[in-house]
Amino acid sequence: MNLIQWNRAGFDSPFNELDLLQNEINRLFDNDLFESRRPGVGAAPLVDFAEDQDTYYLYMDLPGVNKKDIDITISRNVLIIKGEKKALKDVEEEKVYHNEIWYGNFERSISLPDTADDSKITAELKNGVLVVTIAKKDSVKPRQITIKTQK
Amino acid sequence: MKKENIIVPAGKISSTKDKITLQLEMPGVEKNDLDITLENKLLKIAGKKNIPDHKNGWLHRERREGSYRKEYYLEEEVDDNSIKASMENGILTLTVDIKEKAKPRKVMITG
Repeated sequence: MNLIQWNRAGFDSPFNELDLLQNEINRLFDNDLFESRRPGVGAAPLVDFAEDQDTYYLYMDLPGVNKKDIDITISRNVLIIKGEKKALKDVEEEKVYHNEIWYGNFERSISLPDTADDSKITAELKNGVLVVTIAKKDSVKPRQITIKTQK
Repeated sequence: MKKENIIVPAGKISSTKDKITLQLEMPGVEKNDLDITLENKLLKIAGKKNIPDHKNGWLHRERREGSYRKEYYLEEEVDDNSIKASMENGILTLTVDIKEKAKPRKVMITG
């Protein structure tokens, strides 16, 4: 969550104060609360990123999203995952009492480290989690150096 | 013992005249890690979120580790024995039948 700096300048007249408050409210609506790309708020699914010796791993929670509705592209080491989460339609329903399940378009872009080899990417969808694996470039993998002995 | 994080899954409840359907978002839960119990009309759903252990290899984290938990109290009108569960693509779907006598009936006017 972004921290919002409260502007305390000009709190001398009640009218100024109202103006400032209005500005603050506008600001909240413009670029913070309703920012569609904020992680975790539906449109920007939550992501984890990890590495081991020779691979990077990206995990994204996408429950109920079909494989065919996910689009993964890479360009200049920026990985873009976008798609559509459709409303759950697989059950017969006449009445909906309660629905907290978000649906709509989502998108996240992730800048990969320079050491990622963008030609070696695989993706798998398992239990509602998208797992993208990206190999590291050979040049950054640890190598064993053998010591030659002089005869 | 380490205290386990509890994650409340997002859910949807819908019905037809014959059954009630409950759907919960539980990404990362294997079918075998689900624990669903129904006792005295109290339906308890629990499922461990499976997050691989990267130890020191994490570079960025947003997803929460822990277990999904949710409880529902079933009304008298549903038939406890009819409960069915399925798990697909991170969505748990539970259905329970509405008892015959609780269904809406058409009353015929005689005379």
